Amino acid sequence: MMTFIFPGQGSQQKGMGGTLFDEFKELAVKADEILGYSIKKLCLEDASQQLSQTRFTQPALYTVNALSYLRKIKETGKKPDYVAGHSLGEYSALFAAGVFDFETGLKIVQKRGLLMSQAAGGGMAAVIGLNEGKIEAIIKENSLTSIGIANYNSPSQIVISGPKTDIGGAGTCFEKAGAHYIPLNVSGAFHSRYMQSSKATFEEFLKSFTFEELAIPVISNIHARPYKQSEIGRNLADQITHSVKWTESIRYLMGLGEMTFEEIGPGKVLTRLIQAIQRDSEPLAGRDDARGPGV
Amino acid sequence: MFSGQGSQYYQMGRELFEHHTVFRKWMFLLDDIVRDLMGESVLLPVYDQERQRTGPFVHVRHTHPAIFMVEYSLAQVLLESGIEPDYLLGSSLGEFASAALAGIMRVEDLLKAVLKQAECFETYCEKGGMLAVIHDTALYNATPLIHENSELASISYDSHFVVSGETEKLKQIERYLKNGNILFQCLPVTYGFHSSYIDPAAPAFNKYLQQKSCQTPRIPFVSCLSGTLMPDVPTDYLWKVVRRPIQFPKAIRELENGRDCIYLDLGPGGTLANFAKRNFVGESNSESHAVMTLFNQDIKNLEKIKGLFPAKISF
Repeated sequence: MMTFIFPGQGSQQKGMGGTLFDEFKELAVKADEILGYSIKKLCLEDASQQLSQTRFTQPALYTVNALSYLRKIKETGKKPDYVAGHSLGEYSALFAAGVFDFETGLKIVQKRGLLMSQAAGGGMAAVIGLNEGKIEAIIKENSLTSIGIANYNSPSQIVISGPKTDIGGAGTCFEKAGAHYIPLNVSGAFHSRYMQSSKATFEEFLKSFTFEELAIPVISNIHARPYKQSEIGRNLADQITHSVKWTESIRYLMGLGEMTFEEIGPGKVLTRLIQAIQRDSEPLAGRDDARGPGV
Repeated sequence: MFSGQGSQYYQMGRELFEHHTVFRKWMFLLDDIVRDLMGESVLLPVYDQERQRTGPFVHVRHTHPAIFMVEYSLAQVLLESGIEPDYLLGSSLGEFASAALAGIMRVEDLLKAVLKQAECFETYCEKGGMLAVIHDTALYNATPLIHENSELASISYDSHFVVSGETEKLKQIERYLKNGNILFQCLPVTYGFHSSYIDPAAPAFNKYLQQKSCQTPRIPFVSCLSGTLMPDVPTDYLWKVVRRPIQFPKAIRELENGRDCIYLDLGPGGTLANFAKRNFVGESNSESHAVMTLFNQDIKNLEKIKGLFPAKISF
């Protein structure tokens, strides 16, 4: 079985997309109309250093992922058995699954990027070399009550988020335990309770959209299980304030049987996370689509 | 960047081999292929405790695969650290590792081709040598004693060139250079690569290559054979890269071309890192670094290089 995975924020790089914008000219033109700027110039030239600003990163990555997917299908004529995307990448997975067309997805992502970029005073940091249990213990021991886990990227790479000053101050606690601590270049505490107002606005915005049938199962970040048709909108809104359970999502897919993963989009960030997950953790046993209590 | 014959020495990459699991894993994997084919290990002579780094490491049946192996293994180390090349640049034998990374052939097929090439040299070619001359490159054409007794193998930068030839004739050139107080260096090779002295190996090796096919490079691929970006490579390419002159300065010009680049020398000697710097001109903000050097600082150099490329984290 084959799963296509789509990268999210952090995987953008100048030059991404390459010839895709010429190859899918019609869609690139539509993207320019929706966004009000040239997506090709943003991705290939990035003359004003905007590509790493959330408001621009999100539509740019969504577009490059979506066009990469279309090219892949054109070349192979074969659709994957499952799709998943990391945070923003989940929108590319939903596009691949036929839940919305390219333009609709881009409009939603544009709004999401804008709302998330407006979150101020927050921060995020990657903690590398410690597992989930150790990180939770350090948070508890040091009463870092404002800090939460935003992304379970791999068994030894976890991203935390919280108020900017607290993220800045927490580094030594983790470094003392032997971790490598990398503060990320972002102004919001993504995937945390501090994104509540962005989420509320986004939820309202999503109400004007309807979603098509899922043609391919999409593994959701917040549940690490397949999306349910009736919960698409709620899921997308919740994702903004909830942790990305990437490790568990991959373990779930590993548990479905012999699974190959292919990263569709720029870079190999997710591929390396998956290699680490496959090396350091076990597949989830059986096909368990039930969800644990609460989220 | 991947360097070729002459950049090797005993214990090259030893620190990585001892301390870096990815490097070690690939070295063992590739050595298994060598053992299957040759019936002997390359790792044993390379990391022979009795051998000094500075002692000449010349047997082509060992040096040829060993250079390929350390370069390919180090490339895997960088890839694993998330450092991916925008371009690949190989020089001479280094083009084999570059081709492996570009997916032109499978790594095992390229390693087998390296072994086959070494075998062809040993079977068909007279021994010879190579001299690096650290002087204005005009010296070659201006000096009959040099150009009549050797062939120009490579220009590395405007005051460094390499000649190939028969051992006795090279000795004459050495004497001449010594008398003129011109700096030179005998390369640790026993054949006159990049010259007609290795032509006797061509028929057998080209016949071998005819059974192979080359794929389109998956990563933009700059070759010192043409000194340009190669969208495709011909089947006899793996012969030409060791026979034709090395066009390193032209290759660097192709890469610079108004861009600032970070050049990483993945060869054992760090020579290309130095040559690249010597070819930067004018306003270039490019930089150039080596990992493996004679000075046994591989891990420290690797860490420094990792620091140039910020970690990519998904959030």
